[in-house]
Amino acid sequence: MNNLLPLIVGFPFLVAGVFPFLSKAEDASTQKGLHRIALGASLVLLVFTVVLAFSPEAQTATFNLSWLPALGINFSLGTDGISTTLAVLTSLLMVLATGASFSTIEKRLPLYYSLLFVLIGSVLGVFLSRDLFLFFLFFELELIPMYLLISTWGGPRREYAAMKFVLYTLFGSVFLLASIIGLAYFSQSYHLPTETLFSFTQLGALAQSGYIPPVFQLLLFVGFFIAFAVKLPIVPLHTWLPDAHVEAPTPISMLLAGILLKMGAYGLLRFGFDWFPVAAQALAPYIGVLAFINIVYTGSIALVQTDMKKLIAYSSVSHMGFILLALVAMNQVGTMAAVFIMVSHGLVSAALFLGVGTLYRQTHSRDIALHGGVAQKAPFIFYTFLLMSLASLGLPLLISFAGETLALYGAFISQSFRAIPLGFVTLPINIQWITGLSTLGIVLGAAYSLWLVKRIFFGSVSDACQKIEDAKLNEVWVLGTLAVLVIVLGFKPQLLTSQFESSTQAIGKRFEQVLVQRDQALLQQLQGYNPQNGVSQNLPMAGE
Amino acid sequence: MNWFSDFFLNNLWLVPLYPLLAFLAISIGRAIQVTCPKTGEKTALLPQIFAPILTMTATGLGLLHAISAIQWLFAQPHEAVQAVERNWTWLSAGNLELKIGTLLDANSVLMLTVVTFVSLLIQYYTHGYMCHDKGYAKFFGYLALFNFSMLGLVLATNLPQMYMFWELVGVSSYLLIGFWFHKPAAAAASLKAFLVNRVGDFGFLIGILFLLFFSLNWWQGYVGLHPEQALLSFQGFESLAGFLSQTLPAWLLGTIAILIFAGPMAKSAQFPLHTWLPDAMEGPTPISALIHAATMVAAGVYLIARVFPIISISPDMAMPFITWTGVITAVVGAIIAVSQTDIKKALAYSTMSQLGFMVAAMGLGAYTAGLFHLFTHAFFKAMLFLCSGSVIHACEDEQDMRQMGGLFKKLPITGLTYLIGTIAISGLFWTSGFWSKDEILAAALHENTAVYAILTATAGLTAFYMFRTFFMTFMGDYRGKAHVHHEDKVMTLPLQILAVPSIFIGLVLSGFVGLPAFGDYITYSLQNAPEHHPHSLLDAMFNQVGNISQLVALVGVALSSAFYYFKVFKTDGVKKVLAPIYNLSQNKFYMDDIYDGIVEGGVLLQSQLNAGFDKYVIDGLVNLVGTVTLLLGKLVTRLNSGRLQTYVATIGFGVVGVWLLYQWMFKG
Repeated sequence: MNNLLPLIVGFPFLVAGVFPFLSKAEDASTQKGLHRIALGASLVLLVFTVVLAFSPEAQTATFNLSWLPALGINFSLGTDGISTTLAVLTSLLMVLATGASFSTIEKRLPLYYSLLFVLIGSVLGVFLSRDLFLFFLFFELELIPMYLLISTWGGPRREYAAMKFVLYTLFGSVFLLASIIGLAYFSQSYHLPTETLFSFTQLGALAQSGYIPPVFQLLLFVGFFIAFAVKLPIVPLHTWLPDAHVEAPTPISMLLAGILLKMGAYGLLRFGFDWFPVAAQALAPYIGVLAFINIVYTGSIALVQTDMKKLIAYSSVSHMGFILLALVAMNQVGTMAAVFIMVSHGLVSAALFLGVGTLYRQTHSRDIALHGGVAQKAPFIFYTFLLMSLASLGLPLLISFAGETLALYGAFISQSFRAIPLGFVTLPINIQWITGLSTLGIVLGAAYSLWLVKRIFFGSVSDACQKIEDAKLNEVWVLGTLAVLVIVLGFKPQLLTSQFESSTQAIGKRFEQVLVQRDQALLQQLQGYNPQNGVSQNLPMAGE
Repeated sequence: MNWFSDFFLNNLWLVPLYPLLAFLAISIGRAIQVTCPKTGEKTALLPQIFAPILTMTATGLGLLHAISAIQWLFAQPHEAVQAVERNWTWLSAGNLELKIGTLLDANSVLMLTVVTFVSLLIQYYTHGYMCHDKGYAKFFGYLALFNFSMLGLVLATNLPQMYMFWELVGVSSYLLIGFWFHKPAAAAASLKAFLVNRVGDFGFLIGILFLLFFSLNWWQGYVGLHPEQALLSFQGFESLAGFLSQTLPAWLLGTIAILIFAGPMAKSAQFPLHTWLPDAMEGPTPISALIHAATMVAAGVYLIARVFPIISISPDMAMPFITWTGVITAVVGAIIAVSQTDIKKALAYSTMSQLGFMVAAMGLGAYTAGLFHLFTHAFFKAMLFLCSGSVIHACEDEQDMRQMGGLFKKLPITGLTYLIGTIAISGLFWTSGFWSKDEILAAALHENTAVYAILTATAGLTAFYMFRTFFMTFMGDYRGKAHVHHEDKVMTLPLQILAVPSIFIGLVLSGFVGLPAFGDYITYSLQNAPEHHPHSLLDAMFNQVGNISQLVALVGVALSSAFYYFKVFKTDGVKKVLAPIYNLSQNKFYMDDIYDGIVEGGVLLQSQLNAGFDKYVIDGLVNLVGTVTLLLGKLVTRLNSGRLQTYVATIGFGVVGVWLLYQWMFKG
């Protein structure tokens, strides 16, 4: 199976290279042909990733090609449970986004699909890279097609939104690059083999070893954190997302919410938290507060949006807060929850954006107030949108419930911080408090999701919606597939967790070890100060 | 016979599965369109008539399971009912293993019987009530979905499973309240019901997290000893309570119990989270009978019964809190019911009031009495709602009792069964409501005289407003304009059937007729629960309580007939005398206005402020950075003048500056 990895990353680029040579005619039959070719290619890609996921080497496959030996850069790919899961998610959403394109994208199709496949290839590269420099290249490469896709096929303010997206991400990339170079510097100063300078195993082992001075661990962590905080996004680095979503065409919104945000989550987990657990636990109190803000603050903003796409965009940010909360729990359950939410949100948000897209396609308006009574006109759109809204608010036996419950549970039993030191004062707020308050997010989630359903679909049919028709066949297929997945994986979440359980457990165990070591060290410190005091009743605050 | 009932008994997991399959079959069968080869017309794959058949078959099979479960229960000595628990792993992560299963014990048998029996009758009734509705098949699909969720809740073995199905019954209720979603009132009511319940579940969820947090290690030891049980298994709650009461301070125990109680507060419409229930009457009447009277709203009481050990270890905090919540709910519901003119709203407030009785009983420790009242109430309240549906159907969708009157002649069976229900809920003449309500009153007298006095007075008020609805609807002269149709046989049959348990079930299970008493099976054996009353102790108080409460109820009936039947008194005069209370009643204690204020002035305003902050401050800063960068760029472009002198000067100043900085930082 080792040959499958370069195929998975290379195939989309190959397809992207073919598309410009195809017919540029804009008549219906040519367009249909182009759509079908794209769909076929993305289905092949899906088959590749699924075969990889269910092959015996799903957790261990690697592929190495020496690329720039002088700089220690290798074309190195590999998998573990998390990478394969996200690769399958990516190719699945690519199929679905292609399916959605049938009824939404009409002009310059060869260019469109060429860019789309470059985008997917680079996202797959991000998830499957095992060389940090290669990762960085793919991470940056994804910007170009995304910029062009939004700015060419987007809404009225597409150029502003696309530019904002690019500049925001580049701002984060500066920190990412700084951290990567910093890590490479330490790698060299410890005389680690230079031909594999950027390999994950080498850098990861170095970062986790504790040989890097604590201050630099903190700096490197912060660098990674800011870079991926832009992508996830984390408040206050989130304002590119609503704009990008509002202007992006429907299939691009699906991919943006479905997989591009997950690159941020993936990076935070793999490089931020997993490589620098000590720095992460030191900053955990503040990250916990950010998670709470992400969940509740953006949830409340979603509540009062008048633009459907903006509402769902803000709800995405709110759900990403749950990922952050799960990560900051720093235990096995939390790590598993983080990956689970990456998948569940990927499916649910894609479906929600497509649902809204089917309405926008017909009414050319994203204004909630103009819509009303759509349920009577378009029952299929209504039922799938309702299902996805219920999934989004965390209804049991639908996919998101397992993830959100695990996140809240993982954070609630977590030991990651017991107070929030602010320098001059220490707030006695532990992660249990943060989790309890974040649970407000499930009330807000229900409120904005179902209020949206009520305003768009219930009541009498509004003037703008008089001529609305039900979903087209391609949309029925896409929404139907997502609905089946959301229900099946909701009923049996272990189908999903079994894919990445061992990988997240390994990471979670490392987290738990770090926390145990921290507490032991604090205990010893305390006993050192008071020799009579055998057993400490109150551990000192984290970060002191 | 034996292997047959064994099959039903040993495969309880099928009980929720039948309606789930019915729901899926109906949904998919109705969604897929096929073209008829002969006529070329497009029709649904599943003909409409299969929807009720599938749903009722599913419920009927569930009822067979329930019957074999009753046999199983009665075959055992009631002092030592051996519960049977089976579990399947649903999700495991790290040290958490969530399981789903079926728990067979006296409580679940009780609820299983009520839910399947009442469901089946109501589904039959629905066939008559909804036959002209466009969404006939869809309605049966939703009914099946509700049954799936409710039966999963009833059979839940552990608290997380209960929470899952708890949410699912909530969403079934949401779908059914909003069944006629083209009506704005129905759409608003469904949203409100879901959100109010979410607020309760917010507390409930935190309560579960607290429980897990403090007892996770203990559970791992416990499940090690009882491998057939799941994490937070209800069977282990007595041991858990023992453990917690030794390790946690009283205030924390009380807080956890009250947090968990937040769930039942919303679901069982306890004050102040009751406001969704009257609005929920926007749903079709069979739903009001099934979900919002007999089964789902009672799930709150059922949950309290399940987690009772956790509540009983907080006798000074959680139990009084629950008692007084119940008492206030009972009183408020009854007072509002008096001034309602919509027949369904009046019944809804009556449901709220009766749920208050049950919850108060739980808080008093009268566990058995609360569940007994849940049991009897399910029959007569379902019947009353179905009667109201029959009336509404006959009066062409008129719900205002001022537009009714004298309907007894036209609708004799409905009128008679409504009268039976009214007598039963008033607790008169040894009908079923008498036995269960008076057990609660007996417990109240034993525990707290103030609670007893208030609840007895409320029982009198219950008789008053229930007979008011009866007189206004069925007696006197017809005041409405609509043409009154005759009763539908499909709709009266369930009424006649429900009338039987409404009259007799209390007596049969009272323990006075030679059969085992209800309380003999539904007992609660925790030794260290101070508030628990064995059934025998209540018997002693029963006689005094029974006579007084019948007397009070009769006074209520007399007053009611004086006002609304004989018209000896004019209501206008009383309205003036009791103006403050009347206004409160008329305006439903202003709770809706208070909530509107909180939502509009609090939540939405804060959200608008957040949105403004996001748009103008955060994004404003981002755009400012962009603009400043552009301006700086232009400025720098100007500096690029091409004049050598400027360059040299700039370089010179730069070098000196850097040198000074270096001196200051490292040498100074």
